[in-house]
Formats: sequence, C-alpha cells, structure tokens
Amino acid sequence: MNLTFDDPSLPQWLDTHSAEAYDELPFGVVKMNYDGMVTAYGKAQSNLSGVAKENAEGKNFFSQVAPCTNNFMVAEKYNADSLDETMPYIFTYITKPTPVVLRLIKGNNGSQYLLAKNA
Amino acid sequence: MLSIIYQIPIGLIEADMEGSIVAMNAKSVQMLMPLFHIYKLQGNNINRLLEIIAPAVLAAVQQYSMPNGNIIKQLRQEVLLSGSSGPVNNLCFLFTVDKLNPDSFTYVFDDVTELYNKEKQLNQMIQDNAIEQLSKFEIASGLLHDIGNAVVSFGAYITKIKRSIEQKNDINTLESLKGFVEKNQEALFGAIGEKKSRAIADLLSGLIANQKNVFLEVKDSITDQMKVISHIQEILNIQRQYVKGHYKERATINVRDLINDAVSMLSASFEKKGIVFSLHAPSALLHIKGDRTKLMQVFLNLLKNASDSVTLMENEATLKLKEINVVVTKEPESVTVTIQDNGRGFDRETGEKLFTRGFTTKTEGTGLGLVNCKRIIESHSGQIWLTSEGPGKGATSTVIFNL
Repeated sequence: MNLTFDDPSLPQWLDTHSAEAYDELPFGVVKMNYDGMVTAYGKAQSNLSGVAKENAEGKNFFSQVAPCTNNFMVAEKYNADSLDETMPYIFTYITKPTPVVLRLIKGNNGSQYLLAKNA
Repeated sequence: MLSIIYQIPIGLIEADMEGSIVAMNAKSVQMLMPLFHIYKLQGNNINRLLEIIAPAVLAAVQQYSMPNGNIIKQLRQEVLLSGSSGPVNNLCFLFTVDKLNPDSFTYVFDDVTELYNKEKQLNQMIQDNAIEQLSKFEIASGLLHDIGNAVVSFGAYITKIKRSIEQKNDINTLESLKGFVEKNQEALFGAIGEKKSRAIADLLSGLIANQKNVFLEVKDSITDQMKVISHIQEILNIQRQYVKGHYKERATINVRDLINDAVSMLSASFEKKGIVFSLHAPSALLHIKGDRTKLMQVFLNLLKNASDSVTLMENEATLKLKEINVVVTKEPESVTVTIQDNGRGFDRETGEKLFTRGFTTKTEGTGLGLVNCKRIIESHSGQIWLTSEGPGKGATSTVIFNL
C-alpha cells in the first residue's frame, strides 16, 4: 500500500475501501459513523492503542474506546460539516503515555475517521 | 488495577522530579491535552504546563523537601487561558499532589469548571439581589423622607392655624363690646330704649357663647389633627429606622451598658415620678451582636411602659412604693433581660393582644411600640414576651438574646 498518512486523497480512499483494506495500512485507522460508533478498527490502530478490534467495534469511540480523546480538541471537531486536520496528541496504553499524530477526517458517506501514528 | 486507574473519571498523573510524565490515565489526557496544545507544549512534561496554568502548584511541589507526604490537598486553581475569550474558556481545576517516593509525584486533579461557574453565577445572583434590594430600600428611604418632610410641614401649618385662632379670634372684641354696652347701659337706655339696649346685650352674649363654642370645636379638631400627625410621624420613624438599619453592621454591645444608658436617659423622669429603680447584672461579660440604636429603642420603650404602668397605679390612688427592677442573667448560650414593675398589670385577654399592631391600653398610645420592639428583637434572633399575674399585680417584660 503506497498511501501515506498525509496523502490528500486518503479521505476519498477510506470512503471507498473496506475494513480489510485498512489493516494493510502502515498507520492506525478508526472508522466511525457520525455518532462516534466504531464500524472498523484497523490492525495498526490495535497495536498502537492496545485495544483489540473486537473490543472496539460497535462501541462509542470517544466515550468507551478512547475517552482520552473526548474533548474539544478531538471529539468536538467532528461536529464540523467538513474536517481534515492533523495534530500531535498522546495516547495512553493503559497508563503509559505514547506521543502520536492524529489525522481527523470527516467522510462523505456517513462515516468519519481517526487516523493515528507514532510521533 | 491499571485498567481501573486508566478509566477512573478524575485525572491521575505520575511524574518524576523534573515533571516528565511516567504514567497518565485517559481522563488526564482528555483534560490536559487541549491545554498542552494551546500552550504549544509536547504533553510529556507536567511541570511545563503547571508553570503556565498553576504556578502556585508547581512552586509547592518544587519547594517540598520531605521524602514523601501530601504536598497539596484539594487546591482550587482557576486557569485563565491566554488569548482566549468568553467564559467557556475559563477553567477551574481541583489539584491534589502527593510525593509517594523520593523520585516521583502523583497529581490527582479534576475539572470543576461547571461547579465553579455555577458558584460564580450564584454569587453574582446574590450580589445582584443585594443591589436590587438596596436600591429598593434607597427608594423607600427617599419616599419616607419626602413623606416625613410633608408631614412636618403639615404639622407646622396646623400649629400656625391653632396659634392664629387663639390670638386672632373675635371673642375678646365681642367681650369688650359687651363690657362697653353694660358699662354704658343707662346712656343706651336713654338713646335707644331699655328693650333694644337689653336686646343688644343679649345678642352680644349669644355671639360670644357661639364664638366660644366654635373656637373650642376648632381647637379640639386641630388637637385631633395634631395627634394624627404625631401618629403618622411615629409610623414613619419606625419604618425609616427599619429601612436604615437593614444593612447596618452589627457591633458588639454590652447589655449592662445598654440598660444603664437607657436608664440614664429616663432617670430624671423616674425621680420626678418617685419611681425606685434597681438593676442587677452579673459582672460577667454580657456581650451580644446587635444594632445599638434599635436595641436602645426597645429598652427605652419597655422602661417607659413600666414607668407609665406604675404611675397609673398612683392615679388609681393605690398607695404603694413604685418599683421597677431590671435583672440581667447570662446562660452559656443566651443573655436574658427582665424588666419587672409593680404597676397596673393586665389580664389574659389584654396580654394576648399586646403585640398586635394598633392595640394599646394607653389613651395617647399608638399601638406600635411593642410591635416595633418585637420586630427589632426578632431581627436579632431573640425573643420577647410580657407576663402579668393580673390587673393590679404588676408586669414583667422578658427579652432573650441567643448567643
């Protein structure tokens, strides 16, 4: 997979590809509906966060999977009509802080995405 | 255990001596990452952030020299975000910091902004209400002042009329004319005849009697008007004192000094009326918090009532020593003042009405004195009551101040 984390065509690619394809990407992908419910959780994302795919899918990402993102800096950004923003952040694998870079994307097909990679 | 710590709904951070974050739970990231971001910090060192948002917390941590222990407990810290505007961006955190071992600190914190804002709103509401109340009292005070001035002018005008009719009536002129006619009766007989002369004298007598009746009626009417004016002035004074005293700071008052001062003001009157007065107060400190002017008004009123009561007994020709005894006692949680007289007392029916507005047993009374006393004492969280064993058996006023 030649797609990079910063690729401008990534939003369109995510909207048109399946969850299996996300596992091939070298960075973490979380696909949610507009209510924040996780519909796909990429393999790299599991490695990064320590949360297994089956423990994430079907749950609310901001309140149940990654409550550390439930603030105006991340979760509330998705209230915008369109979104494609990159920012440094910290994930805590249980309690170990891990600096990451997040890319927040609002898709066009009723889905929104959170991409993550190690900083 | 770690997964519980990870999920608890308060921020929890473990950092080393230099502030580098070793462990942090989800809530701490949720709360602090936006702040790290705003201040363009990496989010791996708590000291860099505290330096900006809570320097007092950082100073306390850096100055702590013990190997372990609590450094800060539930410190409320307001965080004013730089370059931001609007109340939503003012945060308030509650910090607790402990040193668990020589190499690390734990920071426990919570975002209490919502609670903080509600408290601020409540305080603002209380202040607004106080200002509104004060302005209402100012308006009421101004109104009472204006009405008071108008009543004083009206009283002066009525007094002027009273003086005018006393000095400038026709009775004296008619009396002089009648005297002249009587003195010159014989000459008048000769000039106009006896019958007409006597008729003139009778007419003058009738006119004089009529003028005197009219004069007395007007005088009585004016006296009644003066009483009404005095009554209005008394009501206005009470209302004015109430308005004035509403925001008055309460000072420490020695009850014994207060009673002594009230008695000093009435001592000449007691002496004149032959009243024997005694005061028994312990040497212990009898301090209460209160409005001295208002309380003085209460004790003057109660002492005057007692004085009137023993004086009325004298009018009723009951021969006995006129006595007023004041006793002040102190309990651990109260100070009690009793004013006992051996005056005319009252029956049960009267006793039940004593604190009713407008009720009075005095011919010149307004029925407001005791009502006002009760209001003042109750505004000092105290109680007041009057007892009597019956008509002719004296009365006792009791005032209790709860400490």
